[in-house]
Amino acid sequence: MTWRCARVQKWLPDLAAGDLWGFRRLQVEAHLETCPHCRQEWAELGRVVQEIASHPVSDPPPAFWEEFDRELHLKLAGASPATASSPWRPWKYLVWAAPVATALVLWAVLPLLRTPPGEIPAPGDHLVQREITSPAPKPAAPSASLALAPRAKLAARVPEAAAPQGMRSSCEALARGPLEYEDPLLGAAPEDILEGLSPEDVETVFDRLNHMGGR
Amino acid sequence: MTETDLVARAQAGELPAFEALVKHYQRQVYAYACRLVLDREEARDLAQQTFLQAYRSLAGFRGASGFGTWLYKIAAHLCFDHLKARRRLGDPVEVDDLCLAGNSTPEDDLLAREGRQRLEAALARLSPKQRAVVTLRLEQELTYEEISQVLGGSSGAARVNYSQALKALKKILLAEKNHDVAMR
Repeated sequence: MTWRCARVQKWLPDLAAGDLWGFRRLQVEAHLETCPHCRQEWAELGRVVQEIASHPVSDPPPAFWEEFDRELHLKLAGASPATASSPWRPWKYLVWAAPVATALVLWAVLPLLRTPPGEIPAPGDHLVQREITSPAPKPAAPSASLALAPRAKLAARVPEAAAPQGMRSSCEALARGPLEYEDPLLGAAPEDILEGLSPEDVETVFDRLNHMGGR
Repeated sequence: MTETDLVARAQAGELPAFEALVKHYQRQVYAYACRLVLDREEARDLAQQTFLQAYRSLAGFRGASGFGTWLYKIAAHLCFDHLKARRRLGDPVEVDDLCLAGNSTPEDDLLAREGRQRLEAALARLSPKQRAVVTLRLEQELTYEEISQVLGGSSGAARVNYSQALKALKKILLAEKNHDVAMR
């Protein structure tokens, strides 16, 4: 096979399909007259084309097409060309973009507006800090208090039976945090407050009173 | 009424105009799908899906290519997707050919059936794109330019694909023929 054969064979499928015209066709046909190898290749390609042409997809019977048309008609009647094929419209998305952007801005800005300029510490925070730095003389329930969160420790350390109602609610309020805080100690008699408390709880109460006096 | 008129009417929402287009192209689309998926039942469903999708996307048809070329493009996408899904799920059981309409003898039918089965077995060994390019060129008689619009790429690439597919088909058919001769 020469370089000329390779060049001619590139065009043989087109010649076999009857799709080669003009000077190129004449060139290829001239080569085929002299080259048995290319002639054989061309004949074989021609047989393939003939094979395809002689075995087309068989046309189904009319009943097949009746059924096909009936089914398709039902499907087409259920489909809407206008709604399903609407082209891409960017303004559809812009309509949604404005509320989404507003919501995002509000989400970012609102927490800043709610926070006061100087962050007020939670009422129980300095008590917890003090407890960590200075060792307590007599821990009431060491194992339990270690496992709890700092604010929860205060409420847990006051025994329910021993502590008066005012003190218990005060400690619970302290444990809840600054936003829910209402001071129930205000207006109560000192002996009512201190009655039945452990020395550590008494110290807590006094610290609390000092803290309020400092403010 | 010309095809352009029918397309315009169908785009305006006239279902009968679209159904006239369906009538004109249904055999070609079905035959094309048959060659691609090599299964008549699946080809029937895919042909219906092609027309349904064309109807839904009719507003997007701008006439840059012929309506038939546009249908072949939709059919090709559907068939390729279907073949991918079938490869994932495994090939179905072969379905026998439908009965041919006509007055041929049983012997003719048998020979035609054998020839068709041999050709389909050979086509099955080509890639789906090669099957598409062969059937578009030889059976649907599209130009390389139109084939490139259906399958993507340039017309030169379509020509090269066709050439390679035809040579591959030749090799397969020759190998089968030699195998049959050796078996006898």
